[in-house]
Amino acid sequence: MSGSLSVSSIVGATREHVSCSLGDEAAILNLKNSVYYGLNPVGARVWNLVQQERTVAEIRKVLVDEYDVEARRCEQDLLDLLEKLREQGLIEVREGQQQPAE
Amino acid sequence: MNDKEFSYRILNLEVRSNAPLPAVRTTPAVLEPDLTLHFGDFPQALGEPARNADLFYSSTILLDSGEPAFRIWKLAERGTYRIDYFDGTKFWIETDTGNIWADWLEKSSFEDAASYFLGPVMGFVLRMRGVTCLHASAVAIDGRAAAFVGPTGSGKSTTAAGLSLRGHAVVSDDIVALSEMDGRFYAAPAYPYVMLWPEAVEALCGAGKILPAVSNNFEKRRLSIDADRFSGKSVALKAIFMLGERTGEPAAPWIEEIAPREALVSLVANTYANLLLDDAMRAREFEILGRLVNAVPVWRIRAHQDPARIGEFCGLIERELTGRESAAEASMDDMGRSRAAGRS
Repeated sequence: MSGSLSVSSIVGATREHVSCSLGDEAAILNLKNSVYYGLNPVGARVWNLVQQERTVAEIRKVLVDEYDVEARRCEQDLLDLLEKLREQGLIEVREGQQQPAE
Repeated sequence: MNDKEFSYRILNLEVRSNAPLPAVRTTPAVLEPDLTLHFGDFPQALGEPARNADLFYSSTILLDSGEPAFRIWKLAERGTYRIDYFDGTKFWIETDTGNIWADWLEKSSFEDAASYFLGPVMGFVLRMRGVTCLHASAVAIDGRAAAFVGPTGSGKSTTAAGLSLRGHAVVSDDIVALSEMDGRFYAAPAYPYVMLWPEAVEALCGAGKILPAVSNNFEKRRLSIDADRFSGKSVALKAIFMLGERTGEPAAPWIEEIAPREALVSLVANTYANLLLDDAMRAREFEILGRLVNAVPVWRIRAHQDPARIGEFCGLIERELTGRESAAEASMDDMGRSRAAGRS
């Protein structure tokens, strides 16, 4: 799916991977291209959250609640990470309903 | 070769052979061995790779002629493979029945074929059986194993031999077959010898020490391990050491922590014969190695370039393994700190 990522997008992990938790970090093996990825603690938390389909806004809320991070910065970093995960075929993105701006 | 049969337990597999394997001690025969070896008894019927054989793998190690060091063919019959080595030694392997036939040309010898079997062929069979194997040696220190992981030439065998000469029990050389039970990982015993390049023999045993060559065509020397310095049982893994490049820094040898993510990637890259794995095997192995990294600490160790400092290197490993109750219980204060040989 090639739609643009926004806070209203719904994201979820594909099945083309195996992953494991390493303390508060994580590593993923992409089964389509046999490439390995490492995730820092925040990335690992996001990866954990996308194991179930959710909106980007929901994920952003969890991160803002759990980490000392400003919402706008968090959103940009989150969208960047999700874009990378999508490029690698590790998540699928579909358009959700527009949400009112926060 | 003869009508006698010889039984062995190697890397957790029961092996029956029609010829005595050099320097490996026999064990009581079992009714149903995992592998049955037929040396010098290559059935004519098996012949050359048939038309219905697919090239399964071609070694990335190339000879001067450009020929690969070996090729593996997969036969149409389920679970049947043939390995052809550059020197004409060939193996026919039925993974379902465990039958293995080996033959060689006149310029080679039974010792060459046995050496192939105990190394890469065993590794191949274990991988096809789904066993995760590290390209590593392992030594038991105070009853717990340390694995020394690294590519060819990184010092796996030299480290194992050095620790053996200091009284510790060798578990295996070159291939560490892992098993997992109740959240712990174990290294399986291989055979009671370590193969060393002549330079390593000199560094460990002094100039003038002569050890037998593995075969007339293979320069490595065989250092036999006495029965009391060989672990006949699987040993719980206490630590994994990635053998880093040797260094000329005066502070060497030293040990560094490796972050779990880096440790996992390093282990993935250093499993034995991992190019043979299909996607499903690779996925399964990734999960196993993930659990391994969570269960067993992984360190990088750098030896000094000077071979005469091997004793210092072994001493550092001993202190690391025995200096604390459990390496896995290292306090957070220790994380990320380097430990050099001079400190303790």
